Amino acid sequence: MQTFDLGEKGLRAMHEELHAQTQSTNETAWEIVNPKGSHAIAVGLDAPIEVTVRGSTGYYCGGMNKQATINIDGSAGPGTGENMMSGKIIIEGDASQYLGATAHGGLIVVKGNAASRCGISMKGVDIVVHGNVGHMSAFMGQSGNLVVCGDAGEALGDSCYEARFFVRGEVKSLGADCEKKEMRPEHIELLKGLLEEAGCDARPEDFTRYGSARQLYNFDIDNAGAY
Amino acid sequence: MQEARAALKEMRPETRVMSAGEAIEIYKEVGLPGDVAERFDIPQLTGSHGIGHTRMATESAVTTLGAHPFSTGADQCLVHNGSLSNHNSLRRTLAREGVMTETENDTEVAAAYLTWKMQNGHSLGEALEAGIDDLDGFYTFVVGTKDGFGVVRDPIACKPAVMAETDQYVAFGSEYRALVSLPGIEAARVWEPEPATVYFWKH
Repeated sequence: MQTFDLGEKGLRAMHEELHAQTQSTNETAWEIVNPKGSHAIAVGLDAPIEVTVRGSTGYYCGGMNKQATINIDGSAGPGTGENMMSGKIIIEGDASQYLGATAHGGLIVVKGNAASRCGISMKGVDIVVHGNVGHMSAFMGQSGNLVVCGDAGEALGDSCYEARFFVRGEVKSLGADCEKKEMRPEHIELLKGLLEEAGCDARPEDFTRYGSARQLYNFDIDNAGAY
Repeated sequence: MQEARAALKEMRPETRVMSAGEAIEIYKEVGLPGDVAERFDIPQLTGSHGIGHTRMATESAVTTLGAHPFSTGADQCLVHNGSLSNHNSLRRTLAREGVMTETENDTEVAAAYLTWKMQNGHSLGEALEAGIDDLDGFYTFVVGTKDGFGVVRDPIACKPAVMAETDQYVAFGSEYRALVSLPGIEAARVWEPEPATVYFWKH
C-alpha cells in the first residue's frame, strides 16, 4: 500500500504519481490521507489500481476515471465521477449534487444519500444509491442504470432517453416523459447483478422500473405541421 | 434612526451606513480577503455568530458598496450566492413603495425586498418564504439575525450549500472545503439544505 499525504504534498504531486501507473503496475493499492474536501482528487486515472481516500472530498473526485477503483471513506462533493468511462467509485457517506454527470461507463455506489441531479445526462454508467436521491435525478439520462434503494425527489428522469431507473421507495414526482414501466425477468436479473456488485441486500422484486415514454425525443409525424 | 440617517446624509454626504442595530456589525471592502480581514482586525472580534463572504461580481461592479452582506434591517443582514434575473423590475416596484436602493447590485434588491416585506408585517421567515415566489433567479441566501442565522435555497438549488452540526456549533459553507478546519468536523453531522425550504438556528 502506497500512502500519499495530500495535505503535505499537494494535488499536482498526487496526480503525477497516480498518472504514472501503467497497465502492468505492481503498485496497485493507494491511500490518500488528509483530503480535507480538496477539489479534483484522483481525476483522469487510467490504470487498474485501487485508490482509497481517507476522508471527505470536494468537487469532481474521480472525474474521467478509467479502470481504477476509487473508495471515498467519507462524503463526496459536487460532480463526483463526472464523465467517468469505466472502473468503480464507492462512496461510504453521502454524495453532493450531479453525481456521475455525463458518465459513460463503470459503477458508482453511494452508501448514504445522493443530492439533486444524480446521474444527470448519464451516458452508460451504472449508479447504485443505498439511500435517497434528490430532485431532477437522471435529467436527460441517455443510457445506463440508476438504482435507488430509498426514495427519489421531484422530477425523476425528466426528458430522459434510454437510461433505466429502479426505485424501491417513493418517487416524489416523475419528470417530463418519464413513466413507470413493467419489471420483466431480464430487469430483475440486471438489478440483481447491480445490487450484488454494490453490496446491497435489497430484493430486486421490491423495485419499480421507470424510463422514457419516448414521446419527447422521437419525432411524431402528427407534429410535422409545427415546423 | 431616520433622523440620524437624514442628518448624516446632510452633514457627511460621502458617508455610507452599512448596518444599524445593537448586535450585528457589517464590515466590507474591496481587496484580498486576508488584507480586508486584517484591516478590520477581524481575528480580534468576538461574538456568538458570524459570516464571511467573498464576491465574484456578476450583476454589478466590484465596489465596497456592491460587497456583501447587505443590511435588511436592524441587526439583520443578507449574503447571497447566485444571481437574480428580475432585480430591475423589482427595484422599480420597491421604489414605488418608497424602498430605495443605492447600487445596481441584485442582492441589494433582495435585501430591500426582505426589508419591505418585514415593514409590512412579515416575519423574516415569512419574508424569505415569500421571496421563493417573488425573486426570480438562482440563489443560496444566508441571513444573519440578532440571535442566529437562516438559510434558504431557490427551488432548483444549483447553488451549493453545506451545513455541519455538532453539540457545540452549527456551521454553513458553500462547500465542505470551507468547513474542514472547524474543531470536531470529522464527527459533525454534515448535510445539504433542501431546496425552497427556510431553515433557522438561534441561541
